[in-house]
Amino acid sequence: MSTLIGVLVIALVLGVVLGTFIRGDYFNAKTYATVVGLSIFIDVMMGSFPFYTWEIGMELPVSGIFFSIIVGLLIGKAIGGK
Amino acid sequence: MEDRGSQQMRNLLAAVFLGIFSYFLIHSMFNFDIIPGTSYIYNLKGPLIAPNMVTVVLFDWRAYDTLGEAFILITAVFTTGILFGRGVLGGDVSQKDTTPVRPPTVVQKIFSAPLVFIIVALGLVLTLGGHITPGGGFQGGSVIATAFFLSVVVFGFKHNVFSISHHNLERLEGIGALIYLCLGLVGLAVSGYYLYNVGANIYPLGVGETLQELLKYPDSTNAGIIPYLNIGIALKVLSGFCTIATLLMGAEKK
Repeated sequence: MSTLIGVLVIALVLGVVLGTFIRGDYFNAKTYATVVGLSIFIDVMMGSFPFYTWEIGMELPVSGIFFSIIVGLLIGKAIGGK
Repeated sequence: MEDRGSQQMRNLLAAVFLGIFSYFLIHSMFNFDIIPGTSYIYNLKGPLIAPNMVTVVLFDWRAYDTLGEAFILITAVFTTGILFGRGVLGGDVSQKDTTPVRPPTVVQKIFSAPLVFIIVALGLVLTLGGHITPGGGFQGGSVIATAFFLSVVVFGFKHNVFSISHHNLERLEGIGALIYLCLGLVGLAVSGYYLYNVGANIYPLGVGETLQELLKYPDSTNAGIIPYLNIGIALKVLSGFCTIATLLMGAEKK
């Protein structure tokens, strides 16, 4: 986890693991749209938090970890969500 | 008659243990040796073990602090299980019909499902950034557990959005504890101190880096194993809180 890529991969894996526990009974197209919209909004508002940087020293203007976790949760739900 | 006998035996045992506990409590109160401040120990012993004081306070002993918190949580789970877990521990409570008496409102139905996503994601962010920002495994795990609470309160167990069965809770708890235990043992093997912070930068492996060089703690700006400890603790806290919620939801008055 000393590089941003490592953190993003771990965030994705943890997102997939926890995403498999999310059930699909209450999810439809509108719910997914709400999740994606809210996530983008929160991602932008979080800025570079929690301050991981690329190897070149540049800080991302959005929270890459949050984005990675949301993608992981969606993948996990698609894989294991009933 | 037999019940009465066993009850008397139980009361007798309780009285004996209460007596022993009271004796040691009073004994320690009158023979309490006051140590001149925790900082004294930190300053005296800390730099002899870790590279500098920042490392001592922020990284190495913080892991011990979290270990203590984890034990408190385990005690809380045990206590809840003993007090409220009657009839629950034998089976899987997630299969019981604990649908709330009042069905969820429209607002609850619409907002709960997306909120579970967001809460879990925020909890994981807190966990993964715990070593460089306010947060950590305990806080992150607690936040993720609130997603479970929310969906259980709104939908009950059978139709829960964030559904973790009792077996999966056990698995998560086991994985979390194993991560913590193994990382602590790595520190013990490298330095002779349990939970000693070691280097954990694995990406140079395969380009001539030996395992010994990999585990060498570079400097106090390096987080070492703390982020991984945070992940282990988050899984443990998440499963602990969810177990408590499961026990409380499944509790029955008999």
